[in-house]
Amino acid sequence: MRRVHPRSYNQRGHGAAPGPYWWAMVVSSASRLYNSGWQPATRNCHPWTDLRDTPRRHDQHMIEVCELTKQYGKKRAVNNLSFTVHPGQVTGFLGPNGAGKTTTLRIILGLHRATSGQATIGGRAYRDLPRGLRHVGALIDAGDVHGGRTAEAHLRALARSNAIPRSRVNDVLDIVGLGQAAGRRIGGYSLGMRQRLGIATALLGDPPVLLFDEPLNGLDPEGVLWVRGLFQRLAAEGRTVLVSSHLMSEMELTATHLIVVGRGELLAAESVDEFAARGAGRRVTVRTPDNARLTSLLSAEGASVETAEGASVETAGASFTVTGLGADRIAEIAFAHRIMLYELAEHPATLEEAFMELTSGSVEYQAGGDR
Amino acid sequence: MGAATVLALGAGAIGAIALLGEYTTGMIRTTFTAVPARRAVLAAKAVVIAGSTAAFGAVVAVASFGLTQGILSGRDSAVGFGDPAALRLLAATALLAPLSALVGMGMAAVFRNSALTIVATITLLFMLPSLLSGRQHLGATILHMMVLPAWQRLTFVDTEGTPWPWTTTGAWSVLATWAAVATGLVVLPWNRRDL
Repeated sequence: MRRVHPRSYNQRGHGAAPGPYWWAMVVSSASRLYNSGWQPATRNCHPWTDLRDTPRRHDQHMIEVCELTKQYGKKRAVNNLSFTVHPGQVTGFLGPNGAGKTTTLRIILGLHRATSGQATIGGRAYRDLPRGLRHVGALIDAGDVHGGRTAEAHLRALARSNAIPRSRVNDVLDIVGLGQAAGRRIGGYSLGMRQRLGIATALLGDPPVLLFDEPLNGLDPEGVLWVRGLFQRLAAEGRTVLVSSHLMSEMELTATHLIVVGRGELLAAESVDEFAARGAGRRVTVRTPDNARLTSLLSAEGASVETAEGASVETAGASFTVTGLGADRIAEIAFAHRIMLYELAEHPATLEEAFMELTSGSVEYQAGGDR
Repeated sequence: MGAATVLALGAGAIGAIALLGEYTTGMIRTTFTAVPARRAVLAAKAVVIAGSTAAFGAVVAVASFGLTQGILSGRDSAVGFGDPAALRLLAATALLAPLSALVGMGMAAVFRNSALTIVATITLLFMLPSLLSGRQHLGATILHMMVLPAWQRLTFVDTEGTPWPWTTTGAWSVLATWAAVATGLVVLPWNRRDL
């Protein structure tokens, strides 16, 4: 049962008004064109502070997303999403493709308007800032550049718009390793080079808050290593670093905190250690001559049993995998029923598995089986 | 007249491209991330484009006027820069360029799509005035609201007499209205949309 937020006005479906109310249709299409749907009164996630009147009481560099909902036509990209991102650590923003990560980041940056709810940085809506680069650095899409300009010209224009000294342009180009290519047109850059340019853009204003959307795409292994180190350095300097990704393996080496979303809804917001503990020790490989008896006993205990591909559970001597019971408990059961065990091995679940398990119900674009 | 049409369409395209270049590449997202004050960005763009096309229009107007007068003075029919009608011609032609650029920019702000923007700009500046006839009252009324006919009213000397005459003040106010509406389209409501 899907929870419908009481403030999601779009759920009412203005367009479906019956009868000859053509003017209502006109008004509704006009409002859809305007794309804001409706701007409801701001709701407060934190009743003890008023986000509008006293922004200073908030942590200056905290990102707060509060009951955020974004509707594109009939598709709800983000559904009642709330989380906070704290300074001083790398926060991974994870979810399968189409989970609403990029939409959320764009709303945080004021590029899209939320249908309801709000997203603030340091207690303020980003859109209310006159100039942004000194407050927030962001890499949303490495392709969001003018291909005809050189990297240097691109960064100089952005620096100029934010009153950042010119010398900073060459500094950040050297930091990301594009010093040699600074005078070349961006149109001729590879994806990895564009990612580096995007990171340079984010670093340009030396901001306390940094957002990166899939920054590792297209980077070479050396670049991936460098970026990981960079994110950790930035966080160690006390900055807020939010990095989105659809690959857990990328994040487990970089992030210390995770926000996991699926189908626009929050699935988990916790530290990497807590997240890892979700699945730990749940998978046990068992080999026994008396498969049939042991598997039925384990199933009776509530465990689920899987065999290697092609083998039946009843085949004696074939190993099988048990989930839902610890190795200790399996050994006790086997001992109590005098069943011989040849092998009993516990595999701590990886973060990847915990992630897959958590998001399995919310994968939107699932590939078909093997063909 | 042909030269003015080319000037108007060229300036319109320049104005449109100034904005489309950002929307079609996605650069606009980077720009608005760097400067969240969208209105300030777009107003600055409008000022730069209007200023540079105005300078271009002035150079073209003065140069072509000077050239024609040079030729005509040999035939004893020169007017000279001091003539009020000549000043009006120069001013109207110089302003035609930034006005057309703003119209192109306004269309780009509304459509955010190259093909639609160019079609809309050409339709507004060129197609509509050339399709309409000024003989009937309705046609003349609509014609008098278009850019190029207004420019024509300010620059051409009416020799044969039209069935629906109008004042130069009216023509100036038509141009001013177009400039105001186009600037409004660039700066006011559309920039709040998602990117």
